[in-house]
Amino acid sequence: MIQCLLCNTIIDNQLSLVQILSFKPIVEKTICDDCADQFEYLKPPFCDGCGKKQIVEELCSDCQMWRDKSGYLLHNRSLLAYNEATKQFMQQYKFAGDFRLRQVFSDELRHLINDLHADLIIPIPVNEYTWKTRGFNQVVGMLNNINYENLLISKNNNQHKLQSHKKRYERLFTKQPFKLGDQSLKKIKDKKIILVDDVYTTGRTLYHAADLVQSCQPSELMSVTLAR
Amino acid sequence: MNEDFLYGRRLLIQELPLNYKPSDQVGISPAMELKKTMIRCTRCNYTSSISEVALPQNQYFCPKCIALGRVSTLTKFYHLPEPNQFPTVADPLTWQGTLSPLQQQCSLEVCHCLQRHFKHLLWAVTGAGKTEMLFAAISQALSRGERLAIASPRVDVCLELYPRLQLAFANIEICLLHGRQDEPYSYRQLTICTTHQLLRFYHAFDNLIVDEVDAFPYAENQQLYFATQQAIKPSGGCLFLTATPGPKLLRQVKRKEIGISYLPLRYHGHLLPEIKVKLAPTWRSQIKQKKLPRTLVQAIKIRLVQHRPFLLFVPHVADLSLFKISLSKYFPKQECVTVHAADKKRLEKVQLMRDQKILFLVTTSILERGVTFPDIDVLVLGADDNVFSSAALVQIAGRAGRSLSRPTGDVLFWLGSYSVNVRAAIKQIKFVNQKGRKLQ
Ligand SMILES: [Zn+2]
Ligand SMILES: [Zn+2]
Ligand SMILES: [Zn+2]
Repeated sequence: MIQCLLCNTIIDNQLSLVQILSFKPIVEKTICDDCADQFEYLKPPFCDGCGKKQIVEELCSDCQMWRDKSGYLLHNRSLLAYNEATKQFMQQYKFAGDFRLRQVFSDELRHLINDLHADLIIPIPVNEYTWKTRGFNQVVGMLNNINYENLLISKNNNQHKLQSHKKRYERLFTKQPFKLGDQSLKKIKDKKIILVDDVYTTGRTLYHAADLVQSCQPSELMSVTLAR
Repeated sequence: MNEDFLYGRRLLIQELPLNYKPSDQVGISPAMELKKTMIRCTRCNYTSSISEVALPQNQYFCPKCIALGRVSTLTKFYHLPEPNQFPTVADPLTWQGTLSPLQQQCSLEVCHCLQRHFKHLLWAVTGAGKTEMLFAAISQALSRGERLAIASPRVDVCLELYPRLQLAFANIEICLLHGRQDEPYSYRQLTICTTHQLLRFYHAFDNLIVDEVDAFPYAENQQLYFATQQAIKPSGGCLFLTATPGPKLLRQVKRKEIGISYLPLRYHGHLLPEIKVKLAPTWRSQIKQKKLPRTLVQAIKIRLVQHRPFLLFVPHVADLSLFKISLSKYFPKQECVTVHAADKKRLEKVQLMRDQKILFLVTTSILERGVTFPDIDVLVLGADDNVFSSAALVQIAGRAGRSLSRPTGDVLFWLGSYSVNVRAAIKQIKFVNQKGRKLQ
């Protein structure tokens, strides 16, 4: 008997004939169909920069701002739209700390990352306070069967206020929270790099991380997040 | 610093006030206990296999009670023993009402239970007026300086109890706790809370009253049961209230682990209406063909002609529209209002029934507590469906005959066939009525 990780109803995991005959690998469900239906998968057209859903495939105003400010454009791709279900999911996974939820989207996230054929995957780190209280990095938690390197390190600048508790303008003006780990230059130079984060909100966090990676001259730099 | 928020409670580090430095008296204990491949949560007693609940770096968490703030090996419990620091009030009861002789007798029994810190079950039929019967016992316990709580699995019960108790004990400050509120906790002699909130208490109460013990989710929830035990002082008492005791409680009664007393008559002194059963083996296929069992059509017709209001229950939300269509074949001009728990117009529709603007309401669930219509009959189509537990069926039957002017009311069940739950409900009502007859 398996219970839905989100709503606790019992999942009927009996295989249909179609599934058996399809010869596809059988995926064990972690959430029920009703819960799964609440999530919105992002499909093109989306913003060429941040990957958010748009009517036409062009750069959104935020991304134009980032390009002008940073001198480069970070191409981000996300699995889900940040709707109510995603918000609830992040609430339960990240803030309530239900680490079991790391499994819910890990397969789909892996496919999204693998399709981009990167040389190196770098997750966004969490700070020491989060490690002490939450006890896990929600990004790394979702990276199942993926090789990654923790080349970004959280600087301990006593930022007691969590990023998610900040207002939008406050987030946009946060100082660089990361530094690069040992041998970053050697590992990043001339490689295709993918940064991974949980949610792309303003882009501030990812652009901080990207600034550091850019300084090591990668051949290409992209990012992937669970939600946008 | 005032540390009364820890009296009789166990709080996690993350639940403590910011910049709080515990005094030397504060007990600090591990939040989880590791036993080989299993790990036990000391708040809810749930034991998980470590592989399912592992965090990185050999840490673990409890998924079971996570909604109340996560228990994990990264945190600890802070606790202070309950000191009963309350001002003494000689006679805190400000309620002026009177009890019927039967209620009076029951009230005395409750007083006795709380005084002796008994573990006791009070089986009072729906509509017996049980809240008023608690007042004297609560009053005495408060003047003894005891800390008390009234807990219920259902938020709506707590919300209904709070103003009634605040009126009855006008000079006592009551703390109300449930998951849907923002008001901070306060240390009070009397607490009204959901059974979930009991998880935060530890050896706090000299007496704990649990109302509607057989309501979801308490009845089947081991964690809440554990929380109840843990919230009571080792020397404390516990009074369970219910109209429909489940097998678990009755087993405890049988083993003499808890005492029992009955209030088998309603406040107006009458018995519960007994269930009359009509067999309709093909009602499911009939309703799909827009037909209804003949006996049901007759029963509806009589009530329409005689203007006798009724509630009609069907098992599933999908059955509501099927029923409505079927009914229109027999009574084309008859208005038919249907309502279910998630219906956005639920309150308006219930009000229509209350104001007697409509004669009947077709519904799937027991409308929430407090939603009682004085003079109604109750009809259930498909009472043998699995969605109706025996407790639910007794509650549904208890909707009928709640007024003094018409204390009897009919309860009619249409079944495909007899189910265990239907038999149990019939048996339970017969049983309490037998007890009731002796008192009449
Ligand atoms: Zn679900
Ligand atoms: Zn964009
Ligand atoms: Zn627990």
